[in-house]
Amino acid sequence: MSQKEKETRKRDETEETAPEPEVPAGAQERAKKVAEEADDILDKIDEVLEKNAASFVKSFIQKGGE
Amino acid sequence: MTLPREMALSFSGGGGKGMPSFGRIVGTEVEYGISFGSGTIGDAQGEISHELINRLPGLYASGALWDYEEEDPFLDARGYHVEGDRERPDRRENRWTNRALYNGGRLYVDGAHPEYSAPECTSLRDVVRFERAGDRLVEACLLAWEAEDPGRRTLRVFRNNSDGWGNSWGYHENYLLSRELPFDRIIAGLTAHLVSRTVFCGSGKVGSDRGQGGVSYQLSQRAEFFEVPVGLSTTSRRGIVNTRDEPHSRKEAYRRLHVITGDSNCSEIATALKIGSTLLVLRVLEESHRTGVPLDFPLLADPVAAFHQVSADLSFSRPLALANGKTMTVLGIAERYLENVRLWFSREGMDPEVMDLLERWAGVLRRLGNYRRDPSGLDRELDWAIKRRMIERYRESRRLAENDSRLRMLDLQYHDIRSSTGLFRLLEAKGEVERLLDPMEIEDALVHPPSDTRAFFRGTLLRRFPAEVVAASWSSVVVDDGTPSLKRIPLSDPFRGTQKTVGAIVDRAQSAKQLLEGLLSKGGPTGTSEDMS
Repeated sequence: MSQKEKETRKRDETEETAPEPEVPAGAQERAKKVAEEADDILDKIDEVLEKNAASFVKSFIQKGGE
Repeated sequence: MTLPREMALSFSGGGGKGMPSFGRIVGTEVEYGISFGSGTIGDAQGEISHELINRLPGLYASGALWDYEEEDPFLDARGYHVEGDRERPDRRENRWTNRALYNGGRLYVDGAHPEYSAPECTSLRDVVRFERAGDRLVEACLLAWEAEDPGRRTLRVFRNNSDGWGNSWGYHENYLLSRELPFDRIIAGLTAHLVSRTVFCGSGKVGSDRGQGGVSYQLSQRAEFFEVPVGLSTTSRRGIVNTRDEPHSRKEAYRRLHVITGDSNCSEIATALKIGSTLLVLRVLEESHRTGVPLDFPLLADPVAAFHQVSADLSFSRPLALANGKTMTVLGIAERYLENVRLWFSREGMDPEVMDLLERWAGVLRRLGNYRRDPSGLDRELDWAIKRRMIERYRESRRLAENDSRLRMLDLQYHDIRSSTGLFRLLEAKGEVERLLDPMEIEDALVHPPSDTRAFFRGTLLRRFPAEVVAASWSSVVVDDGTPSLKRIPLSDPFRGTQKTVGAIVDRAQSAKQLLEGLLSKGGPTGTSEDMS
């Protein structure tokens, strides 16, 4: 493994794994619960999110205000 | 119809003594983005904005006009005969453009956007609830417009500040200050705060309006649109410190600082932090000037570049150049402001609202320092963090590409004011965001003005005597008492006309005519006030 590869790998690892040791035990349970609730929210967002998003964001052009 | 000069009556007493909470007058203005359901609106934007405000249910406003005061040819005795100034609306256009609200605020069309100006408030809680009441009023207009539209079209109204194509509309804060505080002290003391507060009061934005490549998400909707450190214009060459000097009150005593850098927050917490922190910084500036105590606020070398950089830096760690040649991080600057304010108020004493705000402010800065490791907490309080978390969750779970239009749509729709489609409204209903208010407090603010400023007098008169109050403005109420001339009641001091001082007289009066008689018999000095502090 070249020095460059090592550095890349090290950076990747740091980014992927760094947060975990920092999370206290109680927070993991909370995170799980939050994730389940989030699924529910995401489904709800699907229901109300504009179906023609591509066309909407392209045509949403305002006159300046103030 | 012509008006006499101001009547020789005014209010004695006032809110100056025993002032509640922050003891400063604050008013905020929200401009709304608007489109048809498809996203398009084009040249119809101005017309539809007018139609929208004209659908306001009669529960919230009478037929009163907006009093353009001395400048208005229609309502001014001298101005009525002036011809050729086409800027000034005639009766029909005035009515088409304005609603003087029972809650003391104003709903109108500014340029091509619907705009809500909240009434004057003195407590942070009132500022937040009256601002939210504006959304509800506009939502009521929206539902009425759709119900009555022959073409069965739908509308979208957004409480945001940019369209993603380089166009911005405003969110403005107004702070009443002592005229004694020199403007250069405001510029020197406030600029770095307006830049650094972005970390807690930005609304967040997907991408860039100014084609900044590599910016996938930034803290502020507005930062990119600022080009100079100080300026008068709000529509081009925007300045971080705005120099408009239009106090809507006694010019010799007051200045109304017009702050135009802010985003329209959806989060009540972010709104409170934005207004509260700025108000406290201004109070410390005033007091330090009065007492000659020097302050230790940082001066930025290039405020405009710093504002853009802060907005795009989600690590909060890139150094910002100071005028003294050193550098600080944005969190370092924000903490310096907090420390100065805290030191000042711990010496001078603070009421519970100030204490609570300082605690919240400190907590948010602490969590910002830890945001990359643990975003929880902030993603329930600050708009940019709430929105970012929502977008990231959605993107990951639906496996969307970085450039998927739905990401930008999520951003826009976060600010949609309609309860059934707005994503902030959805998160709020699901208990996903922290709240400051009880929803009933907002309900109350739809029809009842704040009790402790002149907004009480304005709003209460408009509601109690809709047939007799023919016009109102920030600094006047115009009454038709059945005599040949209309009477303009001056509201030149924003601390006067409170429930405490005039509530009983207003309650007793069976007509506006009786009310005028009651006020005249009460007497009192005209236009003077000891309520500055």
